[in-house]
Amino acid sequence: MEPQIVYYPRPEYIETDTGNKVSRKSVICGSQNIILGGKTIIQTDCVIRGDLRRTGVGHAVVVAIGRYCLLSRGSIIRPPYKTYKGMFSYYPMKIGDHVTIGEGSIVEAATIGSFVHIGKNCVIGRFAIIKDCCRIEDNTVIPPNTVVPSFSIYEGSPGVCVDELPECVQDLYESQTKDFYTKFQPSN
Amino acid sequence: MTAEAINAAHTFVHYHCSCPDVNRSLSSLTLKENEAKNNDKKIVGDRDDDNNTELNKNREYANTTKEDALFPLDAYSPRTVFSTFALSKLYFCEDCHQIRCPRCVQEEIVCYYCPNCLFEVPTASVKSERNRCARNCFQCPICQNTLTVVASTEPPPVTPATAVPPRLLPNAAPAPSPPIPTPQPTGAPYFLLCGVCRWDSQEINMTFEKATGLALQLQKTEDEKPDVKEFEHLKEHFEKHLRTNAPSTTLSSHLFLFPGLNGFSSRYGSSGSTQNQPKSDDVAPYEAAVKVIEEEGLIEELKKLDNPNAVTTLTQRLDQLSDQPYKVEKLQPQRIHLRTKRVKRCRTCHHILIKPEQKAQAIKFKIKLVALNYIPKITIAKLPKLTVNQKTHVILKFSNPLDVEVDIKLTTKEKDAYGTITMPTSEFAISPYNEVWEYDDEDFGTDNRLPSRGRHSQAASTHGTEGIFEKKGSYTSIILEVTPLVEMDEFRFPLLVTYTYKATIEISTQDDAKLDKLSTNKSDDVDKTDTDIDTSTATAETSAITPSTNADTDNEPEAILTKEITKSLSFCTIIGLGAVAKVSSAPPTSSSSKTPTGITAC
Amino acid sequence: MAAATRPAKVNSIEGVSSSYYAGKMGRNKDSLTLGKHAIVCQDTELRGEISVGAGTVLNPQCKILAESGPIRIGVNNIIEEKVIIVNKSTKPLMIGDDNVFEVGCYIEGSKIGNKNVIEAKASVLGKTSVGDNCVIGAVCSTRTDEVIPDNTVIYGNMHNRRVQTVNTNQANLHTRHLEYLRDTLPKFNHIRGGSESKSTRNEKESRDRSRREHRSHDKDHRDKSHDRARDKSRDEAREVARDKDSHDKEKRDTRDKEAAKKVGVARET
Repeated sequence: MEPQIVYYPRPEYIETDTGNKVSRKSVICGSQNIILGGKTIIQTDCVIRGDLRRTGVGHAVVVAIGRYCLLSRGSIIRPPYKTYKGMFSYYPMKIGDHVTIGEGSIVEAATIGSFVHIGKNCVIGRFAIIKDCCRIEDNTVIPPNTVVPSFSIYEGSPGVCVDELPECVQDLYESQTKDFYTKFQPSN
Repeated sequence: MTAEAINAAHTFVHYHCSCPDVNRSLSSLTLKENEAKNNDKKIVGDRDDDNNTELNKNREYANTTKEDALFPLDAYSPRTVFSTFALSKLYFCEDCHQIRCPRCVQEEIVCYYCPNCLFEVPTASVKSERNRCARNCFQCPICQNTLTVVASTEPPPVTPATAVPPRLLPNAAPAPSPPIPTPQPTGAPYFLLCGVCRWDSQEINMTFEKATGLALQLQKTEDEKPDVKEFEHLKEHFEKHLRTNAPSTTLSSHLFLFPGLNGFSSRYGSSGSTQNQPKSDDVAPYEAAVKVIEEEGLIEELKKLDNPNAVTTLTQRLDQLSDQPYKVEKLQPQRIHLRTKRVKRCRTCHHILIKPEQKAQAIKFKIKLVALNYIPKITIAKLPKLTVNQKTHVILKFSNPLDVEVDIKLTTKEKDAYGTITMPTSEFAISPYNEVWEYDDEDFGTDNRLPSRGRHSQAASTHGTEGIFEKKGSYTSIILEVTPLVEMDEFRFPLLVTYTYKATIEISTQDDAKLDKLSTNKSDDVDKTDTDIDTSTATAETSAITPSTNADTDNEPEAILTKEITKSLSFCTIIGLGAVAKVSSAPPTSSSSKTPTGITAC
Repeated sequence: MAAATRPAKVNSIEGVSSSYYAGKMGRNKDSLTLGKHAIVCQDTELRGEISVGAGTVLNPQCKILAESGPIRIGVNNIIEEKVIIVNKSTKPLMIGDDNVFEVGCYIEGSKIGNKNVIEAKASVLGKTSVGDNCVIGAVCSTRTDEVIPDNTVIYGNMHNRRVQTVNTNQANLHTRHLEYLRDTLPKFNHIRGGSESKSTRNEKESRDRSRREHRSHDKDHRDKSHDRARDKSRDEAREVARDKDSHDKEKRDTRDKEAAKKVGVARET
């Protein structure tokens, strides 16, 4: 099914020079520590915790999100934390290009590669690493420290690899995210 | 809008693969020949043997009815699920000019790697490591999650616990005692911990001296297990025998290891039936090396249990290859299974369709022949709610992935027990794929798209045909009129798509022989089409063989010629349009308002 | 490094019941009691009679709804974003000490003990009481009206249960996590509990200044072209931030607005 055009109320969204569309109804903490790659959409009720920065460093990027990403309604991006050698700190999170994060999903991953689809209501545990070209089905829980290798489909709680993605998934997700961005239009 | 969204969940466009693997069951039925014919849309080319047989077959079909010949697939048969695939899952063999599905490709492993630490394992050591990661990666015996290595003695905190402020609420529980690190019962400072179920390898007294090479540290205990020993012993016993009796000594002994069990039994069986062969007599009687002690009173103990969590689940048992214990305490963490990267080949011509890069973490492919880049992509662009006996306009969008213009010809079953489908237009062209247009689409696409309902008439000017909804960029959208006749959960119909395009190929002079073949094939085709429907066979036409414009080539012994041939391929698709509602449930007023306003003119 | 060790310098009202926003809710019984060193972000929804113990940290976007009875939260708890703690019974909901309520969990229940971890999207339902040292795993839930004994772990698809051995690392992590949050949250978020004292704000500004210096120092060492590209995208993010800030500010009182502007400008230069 061809995706339909999604309309949003124009005053709700801020559009930056590079085409990022950020809802004013989202909560962006510590925005000076957040980088958006361009043409990324952050929808209503999202929370991005850019304030939880690494201890002991001067300026630090906390959350870096690539191009053509979509943070759907109510998703939460939160950097992961741990104690390392007796020091407590939050650590930066990097999200690649063409990443879709479904509604109500919570992401505390260390890295999310490019061409990744995360379904609705997922929980991505602390320091999880999701490599390029992956799919996390709806309602999946990826436990902390899990590595999701490329071309995997993960499902369940705790998430396990249930299938492999086809080889053309990169093209597929790229066109899907681009398509979504083009069809995400103000309603007037 | 919401109704459409719900509907969308059940819609699909699945492509049929014509390979015998997925069709054996189908073709065993009456449709055997029909099917073979319909799905063989070979480009006439390098193999004229194939073509001759094909033609013979094609002649046979002349007798069968058109409908049957076109649609070997019953859209509603549960079997079609197994022979149709989403376009993204299909491959395309350029040499056979044919769709290939995951079941008609051959796989070869090019790389083994651990899915957790992503380290590549050399093929030589895969077998000795039993296809599992030999580093630090373990699976939780309770919940199959990946375990993490944790030091049991945390380094002392940087600041003392004075930061804990005094309590203020009088009615709460007693003040928390400051965290006292519990003394470690064992000396070893590392253990495995599960982040999901909080299983901890100290529970089974498993600790490690170092945080690295855990598998190696466990190797010793693993090798001492009675079942492992017994297996080694068995192997040793029979390997000796097999080596002496093996018909060819070149067979390496490890062939008989894991998959060998199968071959072994068949060998045994055959030698048993033919008594006079001396080989079988040589097997020395086997004596067990280790006596595996059976657990005494296990049943009694299990009887007494009142907590279901104290007994292992089937999943847990099956993960413990060697002993499959019933008691949770006996479960051991398991090393993580390796994953593979595979080359995929066409099974007919053995050409490579998929060749990944060797490195475990690379996502690029050296060769990637996926159907998405060769075959027109069909998507359902607009789907109003379907109602019984109500004519509904469905928009199908055909996108062209090729850089040449493609002509499409559609055939469908016009009427079956479930509904009727009419196509105002069944032949149309799609413009070539162009990246520039892609960008155009991005920038202005939506502006055009919004009022597109109204302006389709002018957009479709090239053909002037009614029934074309929109023709733009590298896609053409057409209108289908669907009238379902019964209420059902999923309305499906088959659609046979034939696409034709002109390909320019470069041929050196020494390929002239080939060209001749092509032209003969062409004439064959012509006489065939007289007797047959022209949709389902591939044709290749020679035309205007022109020497390359490059002057240099003339001097060379092999002149490069460019040649334009017409290629064509037919494939069958099953299109699912989701649920059909009863007339009463959806009042006609609402359903008619659902149909896009613009198309009512058609 | 310095930031982690620096003792949290946050203003707090000791045991003062603040009724300054009771009027906003239109309910007289709304009251919030904050313990010493407790951090409650401004961007939270607190309704009804709530007491928050010393050292407890409430991240932005959480909701504590004492609908029918009061909610008493103990000492040194961490409550993350989108957590909902609701008391639907008339009896007080007692929450012990050193608990972590992770993102998006939902708590009804009658009692939560100490040192529990309620993971993301987990729920405690009905009148359930949770003991000490329990883990309610991600997306798991308890049954309604049950008693969960100490050290229980609920995990997985089927909400399986098992008993865990005591994990010392968790306590360690928790203490330091609290220290970090008490230190960091006030730098980026508006904190509830009255006006910021002069000294705190000055401190904050000086900290900002030092951070800026750090940054420019770092820059010199970095590859120039790389930096330019980075800066460009960073500026965009900031732009978003600025726009957003201005939107958010409408809600806040003018004093806060000015302070935010000051800080914001300082950061951007």
